[in-house]
Amino acid sequence: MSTVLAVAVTVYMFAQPQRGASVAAGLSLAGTLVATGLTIRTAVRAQQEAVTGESRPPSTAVKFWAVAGLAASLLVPSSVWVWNRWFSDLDVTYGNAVDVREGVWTVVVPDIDSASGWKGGELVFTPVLQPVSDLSDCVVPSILRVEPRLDGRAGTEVPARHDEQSSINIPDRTDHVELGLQLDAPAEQICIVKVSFKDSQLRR
Amino acid sequence: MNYSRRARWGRWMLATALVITMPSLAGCPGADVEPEPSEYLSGEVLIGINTDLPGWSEYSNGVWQGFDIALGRWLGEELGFDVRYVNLTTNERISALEADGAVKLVISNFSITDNRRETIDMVGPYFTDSQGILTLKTKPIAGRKDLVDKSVCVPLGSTTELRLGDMTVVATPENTLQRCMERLRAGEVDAVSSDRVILEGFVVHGGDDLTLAQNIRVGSERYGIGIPNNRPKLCEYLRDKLSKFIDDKWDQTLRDALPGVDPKDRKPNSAALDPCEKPATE
Repeated sequence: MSTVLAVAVTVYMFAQPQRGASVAAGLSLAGTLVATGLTIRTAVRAQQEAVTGESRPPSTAVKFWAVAGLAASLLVPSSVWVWNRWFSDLDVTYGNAVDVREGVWTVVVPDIDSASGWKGGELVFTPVLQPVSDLSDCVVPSILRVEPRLDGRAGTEVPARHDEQSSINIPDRTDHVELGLQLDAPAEQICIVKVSFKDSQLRR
Repeated sequence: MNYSRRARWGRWMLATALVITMPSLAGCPGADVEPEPSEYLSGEVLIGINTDLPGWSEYSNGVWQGFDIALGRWLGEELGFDVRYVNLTTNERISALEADGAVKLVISNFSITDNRRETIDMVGPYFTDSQGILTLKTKPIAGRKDLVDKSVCVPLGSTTELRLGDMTVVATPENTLQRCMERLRAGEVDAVSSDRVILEGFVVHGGDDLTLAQNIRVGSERYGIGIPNNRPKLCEYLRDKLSKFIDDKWDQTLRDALPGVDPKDRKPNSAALDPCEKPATE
């Protein structure tokens, strides 16, 4: 039974690489607590038996803790799964960095974990701008214009900056999200930067 | 409680304490704490400046004068510190800020670039301009095509030096612009390239034999105050003052330092100075 359970949890974690860490953390915490409790109990019991020379069947307390440990190891992963499926923030990825310039829209498609069946939320992201020229003066002073395109319809543009968190509201029942990116740079210069995103999540 | 029981209890307590404290210690950031700006800029403050740039930073008759000098002096009066100017060549500006205590600020026609922001922080802009070409009046240059294969003197380590890489010219770097002027007048180079307002300074201050090519404007230069890297508090502190300088003193300072130089397109918007960088994280 325990082998089947361990295999199932492992397969689940491999199938959910972005959540594997949090599931593993939850499981390891529960497992550590149970294992520590049982180890202490067994050690104390063994010492008592060595002193008295008697061997006794497991007490009610041991039975209780064994059942509790088993229940916890079943409940924790299922709770984590329920939480991830319907309530937790979803990690969002964007692929490789893209070149963004003035006067031209560059489109990126946020990859929101479709297996979770998301239904809108607040898309939070932190743009990272990198220069492509030795002489550019673009990264810090430029404003990155972010235009959400929700199921093909243009939404309200959001001004973003390098290394500052921004967010866009995605209404419920939106199926497809794209972001149009364009640069507003200071002075008369031709600014081109590579844009990537960090710490991006869909908050539900 | 006998000895073995106490020892076992002690071991458990120790293990528990380690389990609790180890993760929090692992997440501790480095201890590089930024000094308070008012402390950092107190007493005598060393400010790095360009060497002998007419209209910007020039030592004459025992007195420093020029736009950058006036800005440094005004900051000293506003923030309550004594200014001591330190001559730097163009190429020394970043290394002086990186060397602990060599200078605390650099105010020296210091163009803001993304690459420079990797190693220092910059506050600004307090001036905007573009690059130009200066020649002798007897050998004027009308446009870019006249520059092909000409020898052009530029300050070593400047954005001008890098920008010339896009042109078909023979770039001749020198440590200072004064040295470039000497070579221009000696006929050793055909032209000198730098920011237009610096070249105008040479024309205004004793450059009757010089002329600025009117049709050549290259790139964009925005001057900022250089400060050591990862100093967001110092940046905000100076940014507020710089905004006040632009509103209250900029026009008069330009008229005094560079009489006749057109302020159009050169005065920054004091309400839209660059945001300060966040400290770099490992």
